[in-house]
This record gives sequence, C-alpha cells and structure tokens, in this order.
Amino acid sequence: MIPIHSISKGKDVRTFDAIVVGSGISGGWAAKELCEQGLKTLVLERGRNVEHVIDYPTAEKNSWEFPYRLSSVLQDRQQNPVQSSCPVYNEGTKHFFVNDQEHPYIQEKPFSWIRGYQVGGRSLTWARQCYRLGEMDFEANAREGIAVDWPIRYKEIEPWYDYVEKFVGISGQAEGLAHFPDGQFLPPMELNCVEKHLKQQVSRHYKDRILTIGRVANLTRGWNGRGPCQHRNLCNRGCPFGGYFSSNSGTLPVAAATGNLTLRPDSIVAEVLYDEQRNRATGVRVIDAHTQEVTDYFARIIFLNASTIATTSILLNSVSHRFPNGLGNSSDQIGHNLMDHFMMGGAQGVYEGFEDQYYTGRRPTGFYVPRFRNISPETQRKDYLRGFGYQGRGERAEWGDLYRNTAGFGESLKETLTKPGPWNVVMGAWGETLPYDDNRVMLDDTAKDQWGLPLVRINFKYRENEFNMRSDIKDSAAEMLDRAGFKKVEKFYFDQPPGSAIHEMGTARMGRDPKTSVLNAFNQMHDVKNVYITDGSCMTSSACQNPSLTYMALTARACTHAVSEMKKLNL
Amino acid sequence: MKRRQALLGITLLSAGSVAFSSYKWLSWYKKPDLVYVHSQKELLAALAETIIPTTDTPGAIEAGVPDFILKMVVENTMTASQNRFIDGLKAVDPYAINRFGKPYVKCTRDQQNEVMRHFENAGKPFEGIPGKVERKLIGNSFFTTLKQYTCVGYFTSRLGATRSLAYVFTPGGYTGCVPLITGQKSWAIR
Repeated sequence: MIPIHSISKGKDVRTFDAIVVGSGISGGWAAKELCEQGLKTLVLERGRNVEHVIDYPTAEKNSWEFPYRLSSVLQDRQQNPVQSSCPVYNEGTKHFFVNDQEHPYIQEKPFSWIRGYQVGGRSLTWARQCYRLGEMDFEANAREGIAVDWPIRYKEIEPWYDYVEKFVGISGQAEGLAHFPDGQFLPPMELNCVEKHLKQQVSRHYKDRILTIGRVANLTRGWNGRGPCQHRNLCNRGCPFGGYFSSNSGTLPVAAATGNLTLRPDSIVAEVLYDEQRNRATGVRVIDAHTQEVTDYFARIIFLNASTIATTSILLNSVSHRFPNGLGNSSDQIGHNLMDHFMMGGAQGVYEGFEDQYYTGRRPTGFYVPRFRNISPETQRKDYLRGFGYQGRGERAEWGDLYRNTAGFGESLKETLTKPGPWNVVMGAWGETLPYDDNRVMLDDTAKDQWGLPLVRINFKYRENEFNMRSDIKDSAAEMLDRAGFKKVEKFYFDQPPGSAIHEMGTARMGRDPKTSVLNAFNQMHDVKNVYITDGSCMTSSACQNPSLTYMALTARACTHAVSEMKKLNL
Repeated sequence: MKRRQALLGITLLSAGSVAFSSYKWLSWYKKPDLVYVHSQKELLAALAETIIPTTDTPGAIEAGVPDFILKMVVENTMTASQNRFIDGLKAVDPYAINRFGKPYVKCTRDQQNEVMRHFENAGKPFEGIPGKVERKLIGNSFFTTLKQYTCVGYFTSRLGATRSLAYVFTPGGYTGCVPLITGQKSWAIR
C-alpha cells in the first residue's frame, strides 16, 4: 500500500523536499530516484489511484465475460472518438483511458491526444518497446542544421540507460550495431518460423539491414520481485503477475518502501508557483479533481512529468511579471517543436509454407528492423532526412482474420475457422518526425475546462520530409517481403491523425543556449534552476525509436543531478 | 444481379455529388424496428445455427450466439446496418415460404442452406473502393452482419473458444516453432 495524502492542514505538512507532477513512466522514475536519495517527495497525479493488481479489474476476464466480447463499441466510438481510436482501447482496457467529453482540447488540425489519467498514467497501457537512441540520433540536428543541437551525446546517457534497464528488466537480443546500441538484456523471446525465415532473407538480401526480436519491458525471468511474464499478451489490462514494467508494478512501490513517498491522486496541478525575488519555483497550486478545492504545496525542487502536452500547458499557465508567457519561457520555445512518430504505413504478405509448424503461447512483442536509411554514405537518401524502424509480427491467420474473406457458411466454414490458416507477416514503420517551430501546443484565450483551466490548442501537421519517408516506408517493406518470397504482398497506409503513435514530445526542448531552448543538459530549466522536466517535452529531436526508455534514463540522470546540486546548496 | 450491383456501385461512388433516391436514403436511415428483432429470437437462432452448425463440437445455439446477435444488433450497430439487418430478417420467411412453402425454422437443413445461399449472394459486398463507400453509407448487408456476429459470438463464447478452438488463458511461456499435431485447432486468443 502506498500512503495517500488526503488532508491538507498547515503549511508545514504541505512542504516537501521535492514535488513530482505526474506518476506515469517518467514521474514514477523521478519518485523512485528522489525517494531513494532521501528526499521527502510528494507525487501529484491528476487521476484516480490505481493500485498494482488490486485495481486491474479485467485482468483475469475471459472473452465471454465482456458484454460485447471485446468488439469495438459503437457508443465509445461516438462519445469517446479520440481515445477509442487507440488500437489497445477495448472493453478490457478502457478504464485506463480518459473520457473525451470530460477532458476536451482543441484540434486546429486533427491531432489525437490519447491520455490515461490515473496513478501509473500510460505506463499501464504502453507498448513496452525499449530502444536506445544512438550517437547518430544525438548528433543529427547539429550535423544537418535542424532546430538546435542536443546538449548531450550518447556517452553521457549510456550509463543511465544501463542503470534503468537493470531495474526495468528488458528482454532482447544484442546485435552489435553502432547506430542501434545494445542494452542490458534479459533473455530474448523467440522468433517463430516465418519470422526466422524473414530474418535470414533480410540478412541475405541486404548488407545494411537486420531483423531482431522486439526489445520489450516484459520479464523473461523473475526480476526484482516481479514477473516472470506469463505470455498472455493481455498486458494493457494491467498484469497480476507484474510481468511487465509500469510505475505501478515497478517504481512507485520502491519509492513507497523508502518511507519518503507521499502520493496524492485526484490532484490537478494548475500552475507552478514562482518567487520573483529569489528566482525560484516555490511549489505548485493544486485543484482537487472532485471538490475543486485549491491547495498550494511547497518544495525545494519540482519535477514536471505530466506528459508532454500537459507539462506544456502547466508551464504556459504559470504566468508572472517575470515570465508573462509562461514559466521559464524567456526563449519563447515552450509549446513549439511538437513531434510524434508517424506510423500506420508498411506492408503485409502471405507465406506459403511451414504449414506443419505453429507456436505456443502469446508473445507480447513482435520483431524489429532497426533503422537502415541515412546511417552511412551508402544509405544516404536524397529525398528525406533521418529514418524509420519497422515493427512487425508473423503469425498464422486465425478465425478473426479469416471469416470475412472465407465465402460460405455451415460445416465447411466452421472447419476452416477452427484451423490455423496461412502464415502472414505485417510490418509497419515508426518514422522520425523533424521538430518544426510551428507544430505547436498553445492555451486557448477563452475556453476553459470544468476546473477553470484554459483548454489546450494543438496545431500540428506533417511536412515534405515525413511524406517522402512514408513512400519509402511502404516501398521498402514491400520489397523486403517480396525478396523473402512472400505472396500477395500489399503496401498499406492507414491515414490516422498525428498523435496516434502516442509519442508526443519536444515542446520544452533541451539545448545548449538559453535563448533557443528551455532545458539544459541535465533537464534543468535554464531560467528557473529548481524546476526539472524529464517527460517527452524535453526531447530535442524525436529519433525513430520508441522514446519511453530515453525518458526514464534522462529522469534518473536529472534526479541525481538535482540531489547533488541540493547538497552543494546550489538549489 | 451483376448489373444491379454494378449500377448500385456507380451510384454509391457518385453519392457525394449526385443526389440519389431519397426514398432509399430514408429506408437506410429510418428508425430501426428493434421490437421486431426482439420478437424473432427463434428465427435468429436457426439462422445462426446454419452459419455455425453443431458438429462434433457445439453449434451456435448451444454457445448462446442468438442472444449475442440480438444484443449487438440492438445496441452496437450503426443505424444503416441495423435497418439492412432487419429488412433482411423480414425477408427470410417470405423467401422460404415462396420457395419451399414453409417458414425458415420449419425448413430442412438443405432447404435452410439454400435460403442462406440466396441471402449470401444478394448481400455480397462490393470490392475495393465501392465496398468502402458502401459500408460507410449504407452499412453492411444482412448476411454480412449475420455472419460476422455469429462468428464473433461463437468463437468468443465459452463453448466456442474452449471446444472448437484451443483455449489457454495463461500459457506461461512462448515457443516460436512447434510441429503442428494432427487435428490441432487454432489458438482462441491472440
């Protein structure tokens, strides 16, 4: 049980060493690190409490126990159109998503802002893919003259990747690629027959490409008192075995065990309080989600981990004489440079063969084809910068894939649908998006939510670089499947709104120059030194790797910096 | 039939620019007669059993599929598909009586199959883009909806999942390549 702070009495009981805003994947890490390093830490979460295992009501349910049997629900599509567009949203997971009616925002152009307001945030429903950024990614902006340079290089984050991976527990296969660094891995999960075939063919036909098993925060053996993964592939309902990493299963219990953690759910942070005389943040103003009661909490350091867009809105809403455009915003960069990976493009194909082979269990990851474009002079593209990685999986068609395209009914249909069908592979890309100044998050001047806070406005679109990459994404995937002997190869692109990758980032970027960036090399605000931001908003470029692992590593690094600065009395 | 489908396909493609029969439009978007669906459980059951019959494993009726179809049609189906389903349901017995002189539930299995084949042919969706436009504008045909809800209802039911498929809720591990054994059924869960 994690102690929950419910009563606010005098100022002394509302004063902590540190405040962490948000309890998702990066907030959980901030809580763990700060508590372990001896700081009395208050974690504020705007949503309800979710206790590990106890609050996973659907985790043990069979398909027939759901009213619509996990089908897409019309009422959800109509009343909750943004959240229900997420592929993992269903009857078994929807309690971990917000309600669009209760949490409106303004889309100047279509942008899906998919959220989970609860203790653990989206760490409960994430896809658990963990890939390090490489040296190439940290150098890219400087080399190409895009946006601003990252203030760090791979060697500075490398030990922190090691550190968080050892705690999280990530299964994967080391591959020895310079631009796609290996990590501290638990044993990898297995590829199946058709995936092994594709892997061999990819290596045979392409000198610069490999296929590897997905690196995933699912435990292939017991790890730090959690797991192992039972291969149910029902992770997004919350795992009663602790088979995958979340704040709820991983960081928050460790933070609580120190005795230094106070967790306060249902606490919406309206703004960061700022003392102009001392040029310090003094605390945060909190609105109780249910009673609307306003309470101030105080601390020496503040970590903002509310998730990219929410952190941005808190900063923009924290205005003072010194910072009329938002806390720490002398660069005027806060809210700019919004990025998301673009996805939904790729190819699929059918493999004729391996009819006598199958698999047992449900693997909670697919395979990964690391970036192979613009990684060397030979792989240089004229039509776009950066690159993409493919995520895919091979499996045999089953009843859910087959019934639409199997003509007829009766015994023959039943027979077909109960047997494993043909092998097929689907692979889609996660592509890097460049940081554009006018892809923005703003606050609306007049419209407010039910707590009186200004609504977020999002204005985002993809540009030529992304569109050119998208063509290559489809063509290259189809070519690989073709060369590997797949039949009925089809390219696809599902035109989903930006935001659908749920990798929004970049709106309070790290940089070397306070005039053009918000955070320094330690995720500390250039303008207000006792505020640290280590969620996705800190990202200077997006790379194409799933970003959560990088947020975790940067968070642990920033916490150690903050504690050391406090000891030196710099904070 | 082909010519009718082709013509309807053209109509659907041009629906954005050409105002087409407002009567048809109204028939797709009228308030669906849900009371009628509730009164036809016996017929629904017989239809579902034709799609997934009892063999060496349970059929649709034993697996409780008719109740699921009813729930889905009433609560979880777009108006246009609802109307096409109800219109189809209303057309089953007249067709069966016209053809075999008795309502569907009284027909022999072969006769039921023949009636079902008629509705399958009548309800074939268009391929490609006309098919997408069709689904969006006028929803799925009677047969498409019936088959979809029967299959989903059956293979997600306790009996369908555990008897007609291989159901293991907590596998405990994953093995990538195993030889298929004789009579191996598909995994029930992905």
